[in-house]
Amino acid sequence: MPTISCTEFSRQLSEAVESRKSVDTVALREHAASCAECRCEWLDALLVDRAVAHWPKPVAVAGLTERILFQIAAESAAAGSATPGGTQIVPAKQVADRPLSPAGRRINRSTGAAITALALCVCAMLFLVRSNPRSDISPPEVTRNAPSIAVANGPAITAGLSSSVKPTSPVAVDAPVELMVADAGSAYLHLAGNAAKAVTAATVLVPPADAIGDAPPTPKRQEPWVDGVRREIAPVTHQLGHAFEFLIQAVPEKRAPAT
Amino acid sequence: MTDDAALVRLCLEGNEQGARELVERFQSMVFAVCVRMLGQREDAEDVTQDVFLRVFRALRSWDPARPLQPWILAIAANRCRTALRQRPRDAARSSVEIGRTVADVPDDSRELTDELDLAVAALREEYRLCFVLFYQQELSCAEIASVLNRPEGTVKTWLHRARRELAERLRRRGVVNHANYQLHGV
Repeated sequence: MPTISCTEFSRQLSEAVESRKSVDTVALREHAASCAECRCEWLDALLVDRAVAHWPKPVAVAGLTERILFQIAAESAAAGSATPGGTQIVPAKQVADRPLSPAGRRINRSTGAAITALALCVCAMLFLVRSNPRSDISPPEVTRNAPSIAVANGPAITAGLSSSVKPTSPVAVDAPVELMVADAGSAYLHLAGNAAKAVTAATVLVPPADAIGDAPPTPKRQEPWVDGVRREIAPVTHQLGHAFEFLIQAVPEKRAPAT
Repeated sequence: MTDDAALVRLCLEGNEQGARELVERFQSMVFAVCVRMLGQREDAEDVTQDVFLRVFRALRSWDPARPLQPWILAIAANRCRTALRQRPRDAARSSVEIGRTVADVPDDSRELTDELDLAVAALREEYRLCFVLFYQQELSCAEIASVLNRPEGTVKTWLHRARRELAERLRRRGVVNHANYQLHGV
C-alpha cells in the first residue's frame, strides 16, 4: 500500500534533487515499488546521481593565469592607462610562446591577404602611370582667366578655353567652373586622382590639340567644334574603371609593358 | 583570504597582487563552465580570457552588496552563449574534447564520464548551463536564477528536463540501466 500519492512523490523527489539530498528515502522507495511510472522517474534520478558523482571538474591549463594577466595589462596599456588605479600588471612570461587560436589565425590570414592585394593594386597603378611615355598625359592644365560659357544642352558645364578658341555662342551661366584641361588623358588622370575626394559628378570639356598653344597640330581630327567644343566626355561619376581603360589604351603599343 | 569587496577594491587601486588573486580565485570556475559549455579546450581558454578582460573592464560597475561569483559567472555564461552562436552550426556538437583537461578518473568510471560528457554536450544550451552550474559548480537554484537572470521556477524546470534527457540518453546508450538498481527491501 503506497504511503504517499504520485504528486507527493514527485514533489519530494524534486525537493531532494534540488537540495542535494538523497533521493533514496523510505517514502520514495515504498511508493516507487508500487507505482511503475514513479519507479521509472525515481530510477532515472538514481542514475543521474550516480553519473554525476564521478563527473570530474575540468582543470585549468598551466599558464592560463599569466595569459589572462598579460591580456589585462596589454589592454590597460593600449587604453592609455594601466589597471584602474594606474599600476601596470606584470606581463606573463609564456605569453609570447602561445600559438594563436584558430580564430586569431583566420583573422591574421585575411588581414595579410587584404594588405597584399592592396599593395599589388597600388603597384599596378603606379606602373601603369609611369610606363606611359606620352608627354601629353600630364597633370591637368587649368587655363587662367577663363571665361564662363555654357554648352548647348550641356549639363551645367562651364569651361575655360584658351584664347585661340572662340565659342560660337557663349552664354554666361551660374554653374561653377569645373576644369579646363589640355587633353583627355589629363582629364582622366585628374578625375582618377580626385576620386577619393568624393567626386560626385564631373564634366570635362576637351578642346582640340591645336586649340592649346603649344600642342602640335592634329590633322587627322577634322571634326568641327560643337558649340566651340570638339569632344565632350561627360559625366564621369565614380567610374574609375573608365579612367584606367583609357590610360591603358593611351599607352603606345611598342612601349606597352609586357604582361 | 581577502573578501570579494576588498579584493575588488585592490584591483581598482591597481594592485598587481590583487588582480592576480582575483583571477586565480575564479579562473578554475570560469574555465570549467566554459569547457562544459563549449566542449573544446582551446575555445574555453579563449573565452576564459575574454571573460576576465570584461570582468576587469566592468569592475567599477560591480555592486559590492552582491556576491562577486554570480556576477562573474553571468559574464562567463554570456560569453559562452556568444561563442556558441559564432561557432559554425556543424561544429556546435561535433566534438567534445574535455578528456585532456579533467582530473584523472578511475578506469571503471571512464566510460560513464565520457558518456556523460557527450550527453551534456547534446543538451540544449540553457539546460546545459543550468546542469553545469548546479552539478559542477554546486550553485543552488536561486543562485543559478541570479546568474541567468531567470525566475527560480524556470531554473528548476530546466534542471528537471536536463536530468530527464540525460537519463534517457544514458539508458539508450546502454551505459547504465534500471536493471542495475535493485529495490532492496521493497
